[in-house]
Amino acid sequence: MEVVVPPDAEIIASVVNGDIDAFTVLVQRYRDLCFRFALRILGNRDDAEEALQDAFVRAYRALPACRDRARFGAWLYQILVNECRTRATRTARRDRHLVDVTPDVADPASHEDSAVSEEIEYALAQLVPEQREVFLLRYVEELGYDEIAEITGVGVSALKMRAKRGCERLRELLEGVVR
Amino acid sequence: MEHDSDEPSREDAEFARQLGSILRTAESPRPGFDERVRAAIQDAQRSQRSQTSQAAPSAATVLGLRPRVTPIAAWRRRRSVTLPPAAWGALAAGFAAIVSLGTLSVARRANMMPQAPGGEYGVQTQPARHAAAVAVAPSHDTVYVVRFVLTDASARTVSLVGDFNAWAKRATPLVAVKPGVWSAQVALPAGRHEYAFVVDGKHWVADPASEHLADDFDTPSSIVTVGTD
Repeated sequence: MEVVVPPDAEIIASVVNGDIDAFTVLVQRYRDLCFRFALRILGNRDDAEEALQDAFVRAYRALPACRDRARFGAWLYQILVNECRTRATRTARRDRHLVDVTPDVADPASHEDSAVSEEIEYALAQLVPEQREVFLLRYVEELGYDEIAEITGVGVSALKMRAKRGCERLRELLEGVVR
Repeated sequence: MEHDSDEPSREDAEFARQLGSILRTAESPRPGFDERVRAAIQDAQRSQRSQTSQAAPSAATVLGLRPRVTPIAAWRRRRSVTLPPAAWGALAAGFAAIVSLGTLSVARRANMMPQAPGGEYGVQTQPARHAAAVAVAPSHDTVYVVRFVLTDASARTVSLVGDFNAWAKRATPLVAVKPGVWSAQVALPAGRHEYAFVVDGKHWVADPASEHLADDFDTPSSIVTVGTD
């Protein structure tokens, strides 16, 4: 039996024609990847879920304006990045960029691995938001600079500079923790 | 090959990749997320219907035009209706209380993501610009056509970015309606929308006379409110 996975463009056409159930397919397709980014950038599970939920609602409402439907994922990332920036402003005001390590989230292979992850996430939280954003997109989500430029609206050379500074800072903070 | 000093060194990049592989663990929202998204979408739809069903005065009403209820897809057709210059002026004036009209004497020109104070981008003084977002005519009970205008004699291209087009700088280009005057009309649902202009593909320009928001990178955006009290 062949399992047919409908492409994004086909699903979007259904959604635009009024099939809200079809949008759930897109939510399920992109939910976890997007959530990981939001969680790492905001450092807080509640904020990450709220940001992602708002991003999906915005995407749904703006779906007719999505020109390149085959690249829905990149378009959704753009919305999410903006949503996270807005929320980061609020969290910065509250001065609570805390790393939320919830025991039931991940399934760490060992306590030691979990401790290393915590150290990394803490170091990540020390980066300025611009550097954290590009680090996550480049080295966690493994996107190319051109794609990151499209998502963030920042030029490639500026992105590389931010990545350079972010990497240097992380190495300073984590020297001896990660080998 | 010589290393580009503007990107991470080979050692730093390798270290970053190692960190990335550790952070690339599967993460999921809590159970019920899909249902919450669906409920939020339905709430937003109900809220939008509720807002637009309230009889709020509109520019068209001010001018004595008769708003018609038409399918959303028809807004493009209605957009082609031409009004005499005097009517456009009156429409703009009618909305002045709702939508701020701004004159940019000093405009901040920075990259798409200007830095936080003390960062790597500068602020430059530019020739005077005039910017305005004017709701010109509701063409549907839920969709309003809003005209965005920027005056910038030195601009080669201008585009509009906002929460209504996912801040995509290629989505809504403005056209030069006369030398130095750039304009675009966009269909927006009733409510509050954030927007800014992008000049020459990279310079972010907000309307200083409008209510402002700034994100954590100190990037300002403007706000237009249409169809609500």
